[in-house]
Formats: sequence, C-alpha cells, structure tokens
Amino acid sequence: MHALAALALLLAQADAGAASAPAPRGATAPGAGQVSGKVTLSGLPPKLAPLPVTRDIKICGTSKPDESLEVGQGGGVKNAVLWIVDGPKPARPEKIKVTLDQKQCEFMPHLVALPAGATLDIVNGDKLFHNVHAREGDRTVFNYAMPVPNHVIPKPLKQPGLLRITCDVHPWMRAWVDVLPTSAFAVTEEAGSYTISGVPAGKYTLRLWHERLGEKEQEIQVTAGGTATVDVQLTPR
Amino acid sequence: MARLDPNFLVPWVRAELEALGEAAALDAHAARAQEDGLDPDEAELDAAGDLAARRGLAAALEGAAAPLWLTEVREARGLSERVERSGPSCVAWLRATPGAAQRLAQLVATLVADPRSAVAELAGLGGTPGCATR
Repeated sequence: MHALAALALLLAQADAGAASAPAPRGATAPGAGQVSGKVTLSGLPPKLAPLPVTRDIKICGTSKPDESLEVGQGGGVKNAVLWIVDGPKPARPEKIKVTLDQKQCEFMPHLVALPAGATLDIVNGDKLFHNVHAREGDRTVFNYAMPVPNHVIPKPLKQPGLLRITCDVHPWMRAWVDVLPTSAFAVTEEAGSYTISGVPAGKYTLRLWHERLGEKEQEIQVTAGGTATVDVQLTPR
Repeated sequence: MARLDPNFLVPWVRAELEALGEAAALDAHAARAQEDGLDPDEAELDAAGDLAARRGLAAALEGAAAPLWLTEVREARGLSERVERSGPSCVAWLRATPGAAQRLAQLVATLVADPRSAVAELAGLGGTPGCATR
C-alpha cells in the first residue's frame, strides 16, 4: 500500500472512535511479525449488577451496564490491553487521534489505548454538563468541564501512564485511557481475541493489564513474517 | 467520584437536609422531577443525587476519602461502618445519618495509617466511636 494511503486509512480508523489506536507499522514491514491470541477467564464469570443512575435520570436512563468485566462466549475477556515491553515506537504519534465520547452518560469506549504522543479527542455528545477528570493514581492529570454539547477537546498525551477517567457529576461514569510507550499493543475484542502487528523479530516481554483481573507478563519470541500465538488465561480476583 | 448506592443516597441526603432544617427540600425537588415524567422512586433518587451534588454533600464524601480510591459507598444497615480494600480501590459502608463524611474521614485516616490492614471499622453503637483495623 502506498505510504500516504496507509496514513489516510490509519487516521480514518482512529477518527471512527476505535477502542485503540491502530499501530502505525504493519505486520508486512520488513523483519516484522505479529503476536495474536485470546485472553480468557478461567471458571464462571461473576455476574455484575447494573450500575444505578442517581442523577439526570430523564436523559441518562435508570441504570448502566457494569463494563469493568465483560466475558464473551468461550470465556473471552473484552478490554484487556496487551503490549510489547520495549516494543517499537510510532514514527509520528502526533498524527494519531482517538476519540473518547460521552453519550447518555456513559464514556464510549470504556477503554482507550493509544501510544504516547497521540491525541485524545474528548467529546461531550450529551446535552448535559459533564466533566472529564483523569487521574493517574492520586494525581489529577487533567480535569475538563464540558458544558457545551458536541464540544471537542483535543488532549495530547505525551507521557505513558494509565489514566482513570471519571465524571464528577455522574459518579457511575468510568473509563480508562492507557497511554503506552510503544505502538505494539492491542485491546481484546468481545471474544477476547487480539493481534499485535508490526513487531520486529526478537525476544520480548508481553504485558497484559485488565481493570479487574490485574496484570500478567509472559516472555515471547517473534520471528520475521511469523505469528507468535500467545493465549492468556486469567483468574477472577 | 465514588458511586453512591441508592439505598444509602436517598435516606442519607434526607437525613442531612433534616439536620439542616430543610426537610422539605428533597420532596419539593422530587415533585418537580415527577412533573418531568419520572416515577416517584426515580424522582426521589434523581432529586437526592442532584441535591447531594448541589449542596456539596457528595463532594464532602469525596474529600473525606481523598487519600484512597473509593469506588462505592453502600448502606451499612445495622452493621458497623467500615471501609474495606478491594484490590487497588476501596468500598465504604456507612449509615445514612448526618455526619457520614466526618465518619468516613475517620475510617479513611485509620486505614491509611495501617497499610497492611484490609478493613477499618467504626464501632459506633453507644459511647464514643472508636476506629479499629483488621
């Protein structure tokens, strides 16, 4: 694919509000391979009660699904982030944009992963006052009031880190933004599957994070043009 | 901001407002919400959530829990009031009575002072409330 066309496709995908920014390098890059697999939960998944809505019920509805643990058919775990420690960095991360929207008092998507240097476009899609409060541990990273519907705040995120996002007006609203030090990452979809493309051949550590199931690491080997299959099983905590 | 369980939120806001001599405020607010088409239970919950935010009650709870990541406040229902670690975050069980934020602050301070403990409890039935960890 022509480089310009590839970049245009990349930006189009990012603007569509995908849960994660696509990796700028393709699996077809010379000397690159990929890592794919499935993340599953062992045993029966816990049944999570819906989160009660306690304000602005007329617009927000009466309850929201608890997205902190979503387990699909075959035990596949959605919204686990996997990345290659010391993996490649994107060539031009400032060109990458990922959207975090607020619709009917829910953050959409629930989890955003993007490489350091990319921009998070924060949107208020509701005709309601929201604020977007991002914390890393105890520290507030940013806190934007968003009173105007469809207002977009572009927030460049230069430092890697895991941001916990809340709306202080609507306490049930939760999201995560994972800013990663590499372009070699993926977020599991409904069935728990993932693919990390554009990984140069070599030995690496594959790291996983899930908001309820914690972290896990595994040593892996990637070969040029090959696919390393790495399935990960997690246990409820 | 921690999620507030409706079973805690509504009676707690009512109790705090009564203590301020504004017992009618919740019902008046709920009546307006009903006029907007909510059923009585929804309207009461909506009003309690709104008043908790507008009167700074929810912020007071949040401030009391600031050293910890408090994800939820539930009603203690006759059990001792406590804050319990749950992975990296914490859950609080509080009585829906006035002064919940001050009691939460005491619980949080006790838990923070003892990082190895999973639970801080406030035994408040009679006498001066004490706070212990386990």
